[in-house]
Amino acid sequence: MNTAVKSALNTSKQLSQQSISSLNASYMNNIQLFTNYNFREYFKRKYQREFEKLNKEFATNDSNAINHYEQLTEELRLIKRQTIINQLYKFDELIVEQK
Amino acid sequence: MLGKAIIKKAIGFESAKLSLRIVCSSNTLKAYQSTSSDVDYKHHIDHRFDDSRMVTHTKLQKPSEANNEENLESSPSQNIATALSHAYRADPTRGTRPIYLDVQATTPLDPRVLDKMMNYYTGLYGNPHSNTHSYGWETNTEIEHAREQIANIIGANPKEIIFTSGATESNNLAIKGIAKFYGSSSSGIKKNHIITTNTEHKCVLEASKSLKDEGFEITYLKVDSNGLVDLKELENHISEKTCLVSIMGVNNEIGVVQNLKAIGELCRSKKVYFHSDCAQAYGKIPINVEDMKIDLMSISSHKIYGPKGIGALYVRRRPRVRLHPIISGGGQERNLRSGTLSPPLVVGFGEAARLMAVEREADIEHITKLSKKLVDSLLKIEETSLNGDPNHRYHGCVNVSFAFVEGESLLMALRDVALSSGSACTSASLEPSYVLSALGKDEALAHSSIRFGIGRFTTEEEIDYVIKAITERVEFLREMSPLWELHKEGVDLNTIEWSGH
Repeated sequence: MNTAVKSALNTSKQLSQQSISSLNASYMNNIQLFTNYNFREYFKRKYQREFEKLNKEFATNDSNAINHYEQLTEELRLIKRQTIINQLYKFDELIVEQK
Repeated sequence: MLGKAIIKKAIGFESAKLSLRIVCSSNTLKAYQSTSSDVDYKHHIDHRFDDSRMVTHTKLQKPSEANNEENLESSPSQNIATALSHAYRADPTRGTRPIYLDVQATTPLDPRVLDKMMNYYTGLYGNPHSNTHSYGWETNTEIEHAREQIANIIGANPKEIIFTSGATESNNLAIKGIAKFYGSSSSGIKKNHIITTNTEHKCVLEASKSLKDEGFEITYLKVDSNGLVDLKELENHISEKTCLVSIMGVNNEIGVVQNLKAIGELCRSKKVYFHSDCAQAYGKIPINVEDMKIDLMSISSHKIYGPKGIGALYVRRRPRVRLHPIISGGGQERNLRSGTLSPPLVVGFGEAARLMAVEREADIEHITKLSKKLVDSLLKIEETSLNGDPNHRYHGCVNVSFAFVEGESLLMALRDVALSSGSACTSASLEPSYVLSALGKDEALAHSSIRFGIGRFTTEEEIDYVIKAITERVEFLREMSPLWELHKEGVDLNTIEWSGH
Protein backbone atom coordinates (compact mmCIF):
# COMPACT_ATOMS: atom_id res chain seq x y z
CA MET A 1 0.00 0.00 0.00
CA ASN A 2 1.50 3.31 -0.96
CA THR A 3 1.69 6.16 1.49
CA ALA A 4 -0.94 8.30 -0.23
CA VAL A 5 -3.57 5.61 0.13
CA LYS A 6 -2.50 4.97 3.69
CA SER A 7 -2.80 8.59 4.73
CA ALA A 8 -6.16 8.81 2.97
CA LEU A 9 -7.32 5.83 4.99
CA ASN A 10 -6.02 7.40 8.16
CA THR A 11 -7.89 10.63 7.63
CA SER A 12 -11.08 8.93 6.49
CA LYS A 13 -11.09 6.54 9.41
CA GLN A 14 -10.83 8.56 12.56
CA LEU A 15 -10.01 6.48 15.56
CA SER A 16 -12.83 6.59 18.07
CA GLN A 17 -13.41 5.05 21.44
CA GLN A 18 -16.30 3.15 19.91
CA SER A 19 -14.21 1.54 17.18
CA ILE A 20 -11.62 0.50 19.76
CA SER A 21 -14.18 -1.15 22.00
CA SER A 22 -15.87 -2.90 19.11
CA LEU A 23 -12.51 -4.29 17.99
CA ASN A 24 -11.86 -5.35 21.57
CA ALA A 25 -15.23 -7.11 21.73
CA SER A 26 -14.53 -8.81 18.41
CA TYR A 27 -11.20 -10.06 19.76
CA MET A 28 -12.69 -11.43 22.96
CA ASN A 29 -15.45 -13.23 21.04
CA ASN A 30 -13.05 -14.80 18.57
CA ILE A 31 -10.56 -15.82 21.24
CA GLN A 32 -13.39 -17.72 22.96
CA LEU A 33 -13.43 -20.00 19.91
CA PHE A 34 -10.00 -21.46 20.64
CA THR A 35 -10.77 -24.99 21.79
CA ASN A 36 -7.37 -25.22 23.46
CA TYR A 37 -7.64 -23.91 27.01
CA ASN A 38 -4.05 -22.66 27.22
CA PHE A 39 -4.21 -20.73 23.95
CA ARG A 40 -7.54 -19.21 24.94
CA GLU A 41 -6.27 -18.01 28.28
CA TYR A 42 -3.00 -16.78 26.83
CA PHE A 43 -4.54 -14.70 24.06
CA LYS A 44 -7.14 -13.31 26.41
CA ARG A 45 -4.33 -12.16 28.67
CA LYS A 46 -2.26 -10.83 25.79
CA TYR A 47 -4.99 -8.82 24.10
CA GLN A 48 -6.34 -7.43 27.35
CA ARG A 49 -2.86 -6.02 27.79
CA GLU A 50 -2.73 -4.73 24.22
CA PHE A 51 -6.07 -2.97 24.54
CA GLU A 52 -5.13 -1.41 27.84
CA LYS A 53 -2.10 0.00 26.08
CA LEU A 54 -4.15 1.16 23.09
CA ASN A 55 -6.71 2.84 25.30
CA LYS A 56 -3.95 4.65 27.14
CA GLU A 57 -2.41 5.76 23.84
CA PHE A 58 -5.81 6.94 22.63
CA ALA A 59 -6.52 8.83 25.83
CA THR A 60 -3.21 10.67 25.67
CA ASN A 61 -3.58 11.40 21.93
CA ASP A 62 -0.46 9.39 21.18
CA SER A 63 0.36 9.32 17.45
CA ASN A 64 1.09 5.58 17.78
CA ALA A 65 -2.53 4.84 18.53
CA ILE A 66 -3.67 4.64 14.90
CA ASN A 67 -0.77 2.36 13.91
CA HIS A 68 -1.37 0.17 16.90
CA TYR A 69 -5.06 -0.01 16.00
CA GLU A 70 -4.25 -1.03 12.43
CA GLN A 71 -1.80 -3.66 13.61
CA LEU A 72 -4.43 -5.12 15.92
CA THR A 73 -6.99 -5.14 13.08
CA GLU A 74 -4.50 -7.11 11.02
CA GLU A 75 -3.77 -9.57 13.84
CA LEU A 76 -7.48 -10.26 14.30
CA ARG A 77 -7.39 -12.06 10.95
CA LEU A 78 -4.66 -14.32 12.27
CA ILE A 79 -6.74 -15.09 15.36
CA LYS A 80 -9.76 -15.91 13.18
CA ARG A 81 -7.72 -18.26 10.97
CA GLN A 82 -6.19 -20.01 13.96
CA THR A 83 -9.52 -20.47 15.74
CA ILE A 84 -10.80 -22.19 12.60
CA ILE A 85 -7.86 -24.61 12.70
CA ASN A 86 -8.47 -25.13 16.41
CA GLN A 87 -12.11 -25.95 15.68
CA LEU A 88 -11.10 -28.53 13.08
CA TYR A 89 -8.93 -30.54 15.44
CA LYS A 90 -10.52 -30.90 18.81
CA PHE A 91 -9.04 -32.71 21.79
CA ASP A 92 -10.27 -33.52 25.26
CA GLU A 93 -10.60 -30.72 27.78
CA LEU A 94 -7.99 -30.16 30.45
CA ILE A 95 -8.64 -31.24 34.00
CA VAL A 96 -8.88 -27.62 35.18
CA GLU A 97 -11.49 -26.72 32.57
CA GLN A 98 -15.23 -26.53 33.12
CA LYS A 99 -16.92 -28.68 30.53
CA MET B 1 -41.85 -39.28 -30.85
CA LEU B 2 -38.44 -40.45 -29.78
CA GLY B 3 -36.98 -36.99 -30.24
CA LYS B 4 -39.68 -35.49 -28.07
CA ALA B 5 -38.96 -37.97 -25.29
CA ILE B 6 -35.27 -37.16 -25.44
CA ILE B 7 -35.98 -33.46 -25.24
CA LYS B 8 -38.31 -34.04 -22.28
CA LYS B 9 -35.67 -36.10 -20.55
CA ALA B 10 -33.08 -33.46 -21.20
CA ILE B 11 -35.31 -30.78 -19.74
CA GLY B 12 -35.91 -32.92 -16.69
CA PHE B 13 -32.20 -33.44 -16.29
CA GLU B 14 -31.53 -29.73 -16.62
CA SER B 15 -34.09 -28.87 -13.97
CA ALA B 16 -32.69 -31.52 -11.65
CA LYS B 17 -29.22 -30.07 -12.14
CA LEU B 18 -30.58 -26.61 -11.43
CA SER B 19 -32.25 -27.67 -8.24
CA LEU B 20 -29.08 -29.46 -7.20
CA ARG B 21 -27.15 -26.28 -7.76
CA ILE B 22 -29.62 -24.35 -5.62
CA VAL B 23 -29.24 -26.86 -2.81
CA CYS B 24 -25.47 -26.68 -3.10
CA SER B 25 -25.31 -22.93 -3.02
CA SER B 26 -27.69 -22.67 -0.13
CA ASN B 27 -25.52 -25.16 1.74
CA THR B 28 -22.33 -23.28 1.06
CA LEU B 29 -24.05 -20.05 1.91
CA LYS B 30 -25.05 -21.52 5.21
CA ALA B 31 -21.52 -22.65 5.84
CA TYR B 32 -20.04 -19.23 5.33
CA GLN B 33 -22.72 -17.05 6.88
CA SER B 34 -22.09 -16.64 10.53
CA THR B 35 -25.35 -16.21 12.30
CA SER B 36 -25.17 -15.87 16.02
CA SER B 37 -26.75 -19.29 16.64
CA ASP B 38 -23.93 -20.99 14.72
CA VAL B 39 -21.26 -19.89 17.12
CA ASP B 40 -21.35 -20.98 20.72
CA TYR B 41 -18.79 -18.73 22.38
CA LYS B 42 -19.54 -20.03 25.83
CA HIS B 43 -18.58 -23.60 25.00
CA HIS B 44 -15.90 -22.60 22.49
CA ILE B 45 -17.71 -24.35 19.65
CA ASP B 46 -18.21 -23.01 16.16
CA HIS B 47 -21.01 -25.07 14.64
CA ARG B 48 -20.08 -23.99 11.13
CA PHE B 49 -17.37 -26.62 11.22
CA ASP B 50 -19.45 -29.42 12.68
CA ASP B 51 -19.23 -31.82 9.76
CA SER B 52 -15.48 -31.41 9.34
CA ARG B 53 -14.52 -31.60 12.96
CA MET B 54 -12.41 -34.52 14.08
CA VAL B 55 -12.72 -35.45 17.70
CA THR B 56 -9.64 -37.09 19.09
CA HIS B 57 -9.45 -38.59 22.52
CA THR B 58 -6.30 -39.37 24.34
CA LYS B 59 -6.40 -42.92 25.59
CA LEU B 60 -3.10 -42.92 27.40
CA GLN B 61 -2.70 -41.60 30.92
CA LYS B 62 -6.36 -40.95 31.44
CA PRO B 63 -6.87 -40.21 35.10
CA SER B 64 -10.38 -41.68 34.98
CA GLU B 65 -9.73 -45.30 34.20
CA ALA B 66 -12.57 -47.40 35.49
CA ASN B 67 -10.36 -50.42 36.23
CA ASN B 68 -8.12 -48.51 38.54
CA GLU B 69 -11.03 -47.08 40.39
CA GLU B 70 -12.49 -50.52 40.99
CA ASN B 71 -9.18 -51.89 42.16
CA LEU B 72 -8.80 -49.03 44.54
CA GLU B 73 -12.30 -49.43 45.86
CA SER B 74 -12.04 -53.15 46.49
CA SER B 75 -8.63 -52.99 48.12
CA PRO B 76 -8.48 -53.27 51.90
CA SER B 77 -7.13 -49.74 52.10
CA GLN B 78 -10.41 -48.24 50.98
CA ASN B 79 -10.90 -46.43 54.23
CA ILE B 80 -7.66 -44.53 53.90
CA ALA B 81 -7.92 -40.84 53.12
CA THR B 82 -9.08 -40.30 49.59
CA ALA B 83 -6.29 -37.93 48.61
CA LEU B 84 -4.84 -40.43 46.20
CA SER B 85 -8.14 -41.56 44.79
CA HIS B 86 -8.77 -38.02 43.60
CA ALA B 87 -6.07 -38.72 41.10
CA TYR B 88 -8.09 -41.49 39.53
CA ARG B 89 -11.61 -40.19 39.89
CA ALA B 90 -12.92 -37.99 37.13
CA ASP B 91 -15.00 -34.99 38.00
CA PRO B 92 -17.82 -35.14 35.43
CA THR B 93 -17.95 -31.36 35.13
CA ARG B 94 -14.24 -31.16 34.33
CA GLY B 95 -12.06 -32.36 31.48
CA THR B 96 -9.72 -35.34 31.63
CA ARG B 97 -6.50 -34.25 29.96
CA PRO B 98 -3.55 -33.68 32.35
CA ILE B 99 -2.07 -30.24 32.92
CA TYR B 100 1.11 -29.74 30.92
CA LEU B 101 4.03 -28.77 33.15
CA ASP B 102 6.94 -30.21 31.18
CA VAL B 103 8.04 -27.34 28.94
CA GLN B 104 11.70 -28.34 29.30
CA ALA B 105 10.88 -31.45 27.28
CA THR B 106 8.99 -29.58 24.60
CA THR B 107 6.58 -26.67 24.22
CA PRO B 108 3.27 -26.39 22.36
CA LEU B 109 3.45 -24.78 18.93
CA ASP B 110 2.32 -21.16 19.13
CA PRO B 111 -0.73 -20.57 16.86
CA ARG B 112 0.99 -17.49 15.42
CA VAL B 113 3.90 -19.70 14.35
CA LEU B 114 1.55 -22.23 12.78
CA ASP B 115 -0.13 -19.39 10.89
CA LYS B 116 3.17 -18.53 9.18
CA MET B 117 4.02 -22.18 8.55
CA MET B 118 0.70 -22.98 6.85
CA ASN B 119 1.70 -20.85 3.84
CA TYR B 120 4.60 -23.19 3.19
CA TYR B 121 2.54 -26.33 3.54
CA THR B 122 -0.04 -25.04 1.03
CA GLY B 123 1.12 -22.63 -1.68
CA LEU B 124 4.78 -21.80 -1.21
CA TYR B 125 6.41 -25.16 -1.79
CA GLY B 126 9.49 -24.21 -3.79
CA ASN B 127 12.91 -25.65 -3.01
CA PRO B 128 14.78 -22.74 -1.42
CA HIS B 129 17.97 -23.81 -3.18
CA SER B 130 16.37 -23.64 -6.64
CA ASN B 131 17.95 -20.61 -8.24
CA THR B 132 16.21 -20.70 -11.60
CA HIS B 133 12.59 -19.82 -10.80
CA SER B 134 10.42 -17.72 -8.54
CA TYR B 135 9.20 -20.70 -6.49
CA GLY B 136 12.73 -21.07 -5.20
CA TRP B 137 13.34 -17.35 -4.83
CA GLU B 138 10.30 -16.69 -2.69
CA THR B 139 11.08 -19.45 -0.18
CA ASN B 140 14.77 -18.52 -0.19
CA THR B 141 13.95 -14.90 0.72
CA GLU B 142 11.86 -16.05 3.64
CA ILE B 143 14.53 -18.45 4.85
CA GLU B 144 17.11 -15.68 4.90
CA HIS B 145 14.61 -13.50 6.74
CA ALA B 146 14.12 -16.22 9.35
CA ARG B 147 17.88 -16.61 9.69
CA GLU B 148 18.08 -12.91 10.48
CA GLN B 149 15.34 -13.15 13.12
CA ILE B 150 17.12 -16.07 14.79
CA ALA B 151 20.50 -14.31 14.71
CA ASN B 152 19.08 -11.07 16.15
CA ILE B 153 18.22 -12.68 19.49
CA ILE B 154 21.85 -13.52 20.22
CA GLY B 155 23.44 -10.53 18.52
CA ALA B 156 24.95 -12.64 15.75
CA ASN B 157 25.36 -12.15 12.02
CA PRO B 158 22.73 -14.09 9.99
CA LYS B 159 25.54 -15.78 8.04
CA GLU B 160 26.73 -17.42 11.26
CA ILE B 161 23.52 -19.44 11.73
CA ILE B 162 23.57 -23.01 10.40
CA PHE B 163 20.24 -24.85 10.35
CA THR B 164 20.28 -28.42 11.64
CA SER B 165 17.63 -30.94 12.64
CA GLY B 166 17.75 -29.95 16.31
CA ALA B 167 19.98 -29.23 19.26
CA THR B 168 21.24 -32.83 19.41
CA GLU B 169 22.58 -32.60 15.89
CA SER B 170 23.99 -29.14 16.62
CA ASN B 171 25.83 -30.45 19.67
CA ASN B 172 27.20 -33.40 17.73
CA LEU B 173 28.27 -31.19 14.83
CA ALA B 174 30.00 -28.75 17.16
CA ILE B 175 31.83 -31.29 19.29
CA LYS B 176 32.71 -33.88 16.65
CA GLY B 177 33.26 -31.24 13.98
CA ILE B 178 35.78 -29.27 16.05
CA ALA B 179 37.46 -32.41 17.33
CA LYS B 180 37.86 -33.93 13.87
CA PHE B 181 39.15 -30.69 12.35
CA TYR B 182 41.66 -29.71 15.01
CA GLY B 183 42.39 -33.14 16.45
CA SER B 184 43.64 -34.58 13.21
CA SER B 185 45.61 -31.63 11.86
CA SER B 186 49.02 -32.92 10.84
CA SER B 187 50.77 -29.60 11.40
CA GLY B 188 51.58 -28.30 14.86
CA ILE B 189 50.35 -29.71 18.14
CA LYS B 190 47.59 -32.27 17.96
CA LYS B 191 44.71 -30.73 19.90
CA ASN B 192 42.86 -33.74 21.19
CA HIS B 193 41.51 -32.65 24.55
CA ILE B 194 37.91 -31.62 25.24
CA ILE B 195 36.48 -30.20 28.48
CA THR B 196 32.83 -30.49 29.43
CA THR B 197 30.83 -30.82 32.65
CA ASN B 198 29.04 -33.79 34.17
CA THR B 199 25.67 -32.03 34.25
CA GLU B 200 25.49 -31.60 30.45
CA HIS B 201 22.69 -33.00 28.36
CA LYS B 202 23.05 -36.66 27.37
CA CYS B 203 23.88 -35.84 23.75
CA VAL B 204 26.95 -33.80 24.73
CA LEU B 205 28.12 -36.54 27.10
CA GLU B 206 27.55 -39.28 24.53
CA ALA B 207 29.22 -37.33 21.72
CA SER B 208 32.25 -36.83 23.96
CA LYS B 209 32.18 -40.50 24.92
CA SER B 210 32.24 -41.59 21.30
CA LEU B 211 35.27 -39.33 20.72
CA LYS B 212 36.99 -40.96 23.68
CA ASP B 213 36.80 -44.24 21.79
CA GLU B 214 38.60 -42.53 18.93
CA GLY B 215 41.49 -41.56 21.17
CA PHE B 216 40.44 -38.14 22.42
CA GLU B 217 40.96 -37.10 25.98
CA ILE B 218 37.81 -35.87 27.76
CA THR B 219 37.67 -34.02 31.07
CA TYR B 220 34.34 -33.95 32.87
CA LEU B 221 34.34 -30.96 35.21
CA LYS B 222 32.60 -31.39 38.53
CA VAL B 223 30.02 -28.81 39.55
CA ASP B 224 29.44 -27.52 43.07
CA SER B 225 26.36 -28.38 45.14
CA ASN B 226 24.46 -25.53 43.46
CA GLY B 227 25.24 -26.79 39.98
CA LEU B 228 27.74 -24.08 39.02
CA VAL B 229 31.08 -24.63 37.35
CA ASP B 230 34.19 -23.55 39.25
CA LEU B 231 36.17 -21.20 36.99
CA LYS B 232 39.46 -21.92 38.79
CA GLU B 233 39.08 -25.62 38.14
CA LEU B 234 38.24 -24.97 34.51
CA GLU B 235 41.33 -22.82 34.12
CA ASN B 236 43.52 -25.53 35.67
CA HIS B 237 42.29 -28.11 33.20
CA ILE B 238 42.85 -26.04 30.05
CA SER B 239 46.14 -27.07 28.45
CA GLU B 240 47.78 -26.45 25.08
CA LYS B 241 46.17 -29.65 23.84
CA THR B 242 42.63 -28.44 24.61
CA CYS B 243 40.58 -27.60 21.52
CA LEU B 244 37.09 -27.17 22.95
CA VAL B 245 35.22 -26.30 26.13
CA SER B 246 31.53 -27.22 26.08
CA ILE B 247 29.32 -25.89 28.89
CA MET B 248 25.57 -25.47 28.74
CA GLY B 249 23.74 -22.19 29.31
CA VAL B 250 20.67 -23.26 31.28
CA ASN B 251 20.55 -26.75 32.73
CA ASN B 252 17.58 -28.73 31.47
CA GLU B 253 16.91 -30.46 34.79
CA ILE B 254 17.60 -27.88 37.47
CA GLY B 255 17.45 -24.60 35.53
CA VAL B 256 20.81 -23.34 36.78
CA VAL B 257 22.31 -20.57 34.62
CA GLN B 258 26.10 -20.76 34.22
CA ASN B 259 28.23 -17.66 34.13
CA LEU B 260 28.70 -17.78 30.36
CA LYS B 261 30.48 -14.45 30.16
CA ALA B 262 33.23 -15.40 32.58
CA ILE B 263 33.70 -18.80 30.94
CA GLY B 264 33.77 -17.21 27.46
CA GLU B 265 36.38 -14.66 28.49
CA LEU B 266 38.54 -17.34 30.08
CA CYS B 267 38.36 -19.52 26.96
CA ARG B 268 39.15 -16.58 24.66
CA SER B 269 42.17 -15.63 26.76
CA LYS B 270 43.43 -19.22 26.54
CA LYS B 271 42.64 -19.41 22.79
CA VAL B 272 40.27 -22.34 23.22
CA TYR B 273 36.94 -22.56 21.43
CA PHE B 274 33.87 -22.25 23.64
CA HIS B 275 30.73 -24.16 22.73
CA SER B 276 27.51 -23.67 24.69
CA ASP B 277 24.39 -25.80 24.51
CA CYS B 278 21.75 -23.08 24.80
CA ALA B 279 18.68 -25.13 23.85
CA GLN B 280 17.02 -24.19 27.16
CA ALA B 281 18.51 -20.71 27.37
CA TYR B 282 17.92 -19.29 23.90
CA GLY B 283 15.32 -16.51 23.98
CA LYS B 284 14.70 -17.00 27.69
CA ILE B 285 17.76 -15.39 29.24
CA PRO B 286 19.69 -12.51 27.65
CA ILE B 287 22.49 -13.90 25.48
CA ASN B 288 24.92 -12.00 23.32
CA VAL B 289 27.61 -13.98 21.52
CA GLU B 290 29.94 -10.98 21.19
CA ASP B 291 29.60 -9.98 24.80
CA MET B 292 29.89 -13.53 26.14
CA LYS B 293 32.55 -14.57 23.62
CA ILE B 294 30.73 -17.72 22.60
CA ASP B 295 32.18 -19.42 19.51
CA LEU B 296 29.56 -22.09 18.92
CA MET B 297 26.01 -22.28 20.24
CA SER B 298 23.33 -24.94 19.87
CA ILE B 299 19.74 -23.76 19.56
CA SER B 300 16.50 -25.71 19.40
CA SER B 301 13.21 -24.54 17.91
CA HIS B 302 10.74 -26.67 19.84
CA LYS B 303 11.82 -25.23 23.18
CA ILE B 304 10.69 -21.74 22.12
CA TYR B 305 7.16 -22.65 20.93
CA GLY B 306 8.43 -23.38 17.42
CA PRO B 307 8.08 -26.52 15.29
CA LYS B 308 9.84 -29.77 16.19
CA GLY B 309 12.52 -31.12 13.90
CA ILE B 310 14.65 -28.04 13.48
CA GLY B 311 17.44 -26.34 15.37
CA ALA B 312 20.48 -24.28 14.63
CA LEU B 313 24.17 -24.03 15.34
CA TYR B 314 25.79 -20.65 15.66
CA VAL B 315 29.33 -20.83 14.22
CA ARG B 316 31.50 -17.75 14.65
CA ARG B 317 33.07 -16.24 11.52
CA ARG B 318 35.51 -13.74 13.08
CA PRO B 319 37.78 -15.19 14.39
CA ARG B 320 36.87 -18.04 12.15
CA VAL B 321 35.85 -21.37 13.69
CA ARG B 322 36.40 -24.29 11.34
CA LEU B 323 34.46 -27.52 11.52
CA HIS B 324 34.55 -30.87 9.83
CA PRO B 325 30.97 -31.52 8.56
CA ILE B 326 29.21 -34.72 9.64
CA ILE B 327 26.83 -34.75 6.67
CA SER B 328 28.27 -34.38 3.17
CA GLY B 329 26.24 -33.46 0.13
CA GLY B 330 25.18 -30.49 -1.95
CA GLY B 331 27.09 -27.99 0.14
CA GLN B 332 24.17 -26.09 1.64
CA GLU B 333 24.62 -24.09 4.85
CA ARG B 334 28.23 -23.02 4.26
CA ASN B 335 29.06 -26.64 3.43
CA LEU B 336 28.65 -27.55 7.10
CA ARG B 337 25.25 -29.22 6.89
CA SER B 338 24.17 -30.38 3.44
CA GLY B 339 20.58 -31.24 2.63
CA THR B 340 17.55 -29.27 1.47
CA LEU B 341 16.19 -26.92 4.12
CA SER B 342 12.54 -27.22 5.06
CA PRO B 343 10.96 -23.79 4.49
CA PRO B 344 7.94 -24.38 6.78
CA LEU B 345 10.16 -25.42 9.68
CA VAL B 346 12.73 -22.69 9.12
CA VAL B 347 10.09 -19.97 8.80
CA GLY B 348 8.26 -21.32 11.87
CA PHE B 349 11.53 -21.28 13.79
CA GLY B 350 12.16 -17.68 12.68
CA GLU B 351 8.69 -16.56 13.71
CA ALA B 352 9.05 -18.34 17.07
CA ALA B 353 12.33 -16.49 17.61
CA ARG B 354 10.73 -13.15 16.68
CA LEU B 355 7.90 -13.81 19.13
CA MET B 356 10.40 -14.62 21.89
CA ALA B 357 11.78 -11.11 21.42
CA VAL B 358 8.38 -9.43 21.11
CA GLU B 359 6.91 -11.23 24.13
CA ARG B 360 10.07 -11.28 26.23
CA GLU B 361 8.96 -8.86 28.94
CA ALA B 362 5.43 -10.23 29.24
CA ASP B 363 6.67 -13.84 29.29
CA ILE B 364 9.33 -13.21 31.90
CA GLU B 365 6.87 -11.35 34.12
CA HIS B 366 4.26 -14.11 33.81
CA ILE B 367 6.67 -17.01 34.30
CA THR B 368 8.45 -15.40 37.25
CA LYS B 369 5.15 -14.70 38.97
CA LEU B 370 3.91 -18.29 38.59
CA SER B 371 7.31 -19.75 39.46
CA LYS B 372 7.52 -17.73 42.69
CA LYS B 373 4.05 -18.85 43.67
CA LEU B 374 4.85 -22.51 42.98
CA VAL B 375 8.23 -22.50 44.74
CA ASP B 376 6.91 -20.67 47.79
CA SER B 377 4.00 -23.06 48.21
CA LEU B 378 6.01 -26.24 47.61
CA LEU B 379 8.76 -25.24 50.03
CA LYS B 380 6.11 -24.73 52.71
CA ILE B 381 5.64 -28.50 52.74
CA GLU B 382 7.91 -30.11 55.34
CA GLU B 383 11.26 -31.58 54.23
CA THR B 384 11.28 -30.23 50.71
CA SER B 385 14.18 -28.50 49.05
CA LEU B 386 14.84 -26.60 45.85
CA ASN B 387 17.62 -28.09 43.72
CA GLY B 388 20.13 -25.82 42.05
CA ASP B 389 21.40 -22.36 42.83
CA PRO B 390 18.53 -20.18 44.13
CA ASN B 391 19.98 -17.01 42.59
CA HIS B 392 21.49 -18.08 39.28
CA ARG B 393 18.47 -19.77 37.81
CA TYR B 394 15.91 -19.62 35.05
CA HIS B 395 12.53 -19.30 36.77
CA GLY B 396 10.66 -21.45 34.25
CA CYS B 397 12.43 -24.58 35.52
CA VAL B 398 11.75 -25.59 39.11
CA ASN B 399 13.27 -28.78 40.50
CA VAL B 400 12.10 -29.76 43.97
CA SER B 401 13.03 -32.77 46.12
CA PHE B 402 10.39 -34.29 48.37
CA ALA B 403 12.20 -36.30 51.01
CA PHE B 404 10.67 -39.65 52.09
CA VAL B 405 8.59 -39.87 48.93
CA GLU B 406 9.56 -42.01 45.99
CA GLY B 407 9.64 -39.68 42.96
CA GLU B 408 8.21 -42.18 40.53
CA SER B 409 5.36 -43.07 42.87
CA LEU B 410 4.55 -39.39 43.27
CA LEU B 411 4.49 -39.11 39.48
CA MET B 412 2.11 -42.07 39.37
CA ALA B 413 -0.11 -40.37 41.94
CA LEU B 414 0.02 -37.20 39.88
CA ARG B 415 -1.30 -38.61 36.66
CA ASP B 416 -3.46 -35.54 36.17
CA VAL B 417 -0.33 -33.42 35.82
CA ALA B 418 2.23 -34.01 33.06
CA LEU B 419 5.52 -33.85 34.93
CA SER B 420 8.89 -35.47 34.74
CA SER B 421 11.58 -36.34 37.22
CA GLY B 422 14.31 -35.33 34.81
CA SER B 423 15.06 -35.08 31.13
CA ALA B 424 12.72 -36.89 28.76
CA CYS B 425 15.59 -38.97 27.36
CA THR B 426 16.26 -40.58 30.73
CA SER B 427 12.67 -40.74 31.99
CA ALA B 428 12.28 -44.35 30.85
CA SER B 429 15.01 -45.57 33.19
CA LEU B 430 14.44 -45.87 36.91
CA GLU B 431 17.92 -44.70 37.79
CA PRO B 432 18.18 -41.46 39.75
CA SER B 433 19.01 -38.37 37.73
CA TYR B 434 22.73 -38.14 36.97
CA VAL B 435 22.49 -34.34 37.17
CA LEU B 436 21.27 -34.45 40.76
CA SER B 437 23.85 -37.08 41.63
CA ALA B 438 26.48 -34.73 40.21
CA LEU B 439 25.32 -32.05 42.64
CA GLY B 440 26.18 -34.46 45.44
CA LYS B 441 22.59 -35.24 46.41
CA ASP B 442 22.24 -38.62 48.06
CA GLU B 443 20.51 -41.28 46.04
CA ALA B 444 17.24 -41.19 47.97
CA LEU B 445 16.86 -37.46 47.50
CA ALA B 446 17.83 -37.67 43.83
CA HIS B 447 15.10 -40.29 43.45
CA SER B 448 12.46 -38.11 45.02
CA SER B 449 12.83 -35.00 42.92
CA ILE B 450 10.42 -33.63 40.35
CA ARG B 451 10.89 -31.01 37.67
CA PHE B 452 8.17 -28.43 37.02
CA GLY B 453 8.31 -26.50 33.76
CA ILE B 454 6.41 -23.24 33.46
CA GLY B 455 5.98 -21.57 30.09
CA ARG B 456 4.14 -18.93 28.12
CA PHE B 457 0.89 -20.89 28.03
CA THR B 458 0.78 -22.02 31.67
CA THR B 459 -2.05 -20.38 33.61
CA GLU B 460 -2.37 -19.41 37.24
CA GLU B 461 -5.35 -21.74 37.61
CA GLU B 462 -3.17 -24.67 36.59
CA ILE B 463 -0.48 -23.74 39.11
CA ASP B 464 -3.10 -23.51 41.88
CA TYR B 465 -4.38 -26.96 40.95
CA VAL B 466 -0.88 -28.43 40.99
CA ILE B 467 0.00 -26.90 44.35
CA LYS B 468 -3.15 -28.33 45.89
CA ALA B 469 -2.66 -31.75 44.32
CA ILE B 470 0.99 -32.03 45.35
CA THR B 471 0.41 -30.88 48.92
CA GLU B 472 -2.36 -33.43 49.41
CA ARG B 473 -0.64 -36.36 47.79
CA VAL B 474 2.80 -35.86 49.30
CA GLU B 475 1.15 -35.89 52.69
CA PHE B 476 -0.78 -39.04 51.78
CA LEU B 477 2.25 -40.92 50.45
CA ARG B 478 4.26 -39.96 53.51
CA GLU B 479 1.57 -41.27 55.82
CA MET B 480 2.01 -44.67 54.19
CA SER B 481 5.78 -44.52 54.40
CA PRO B 482 7.52 -46.26 57.35
CA LEU B 483 10.58 -44.09 56.71
CA TRP B 484 8.56 -40.94 57.34
CA GLU B 485 7.32 -42.45 60.59
CA LEU B 486 10.88 -43.20 61.69
CA HIS B 487 11.94 -39.69 60.72
CA LYS B 488 9.08 -38.23 62.74
CA GLU B 489 10.20 -40.25 65.74
CA GLY B 490 13.59 -38.64 65.40
CA VAL B 491 15.54 -41.63 64.07
CA ASP B 492 18.39 -40.74 61.74
CA LEU B 493 17.83 -43.03 58.76
CA ASN B 494 21.52 -43.17 57.91
CA THR B 495 22.27 -44.92 61.18
CA ILE B 496 19.91 -47.80 60.50
CA GLU B 497 21.44 -51.03 59.31
CA TRP B 498 19.06 -52.63 56.84
CA SER B 499 19.01 -56.39 56.79
CA GLY B 500 18.58 -58.11 53.48
CA HIS B 501 16.01 -60.84 52.96
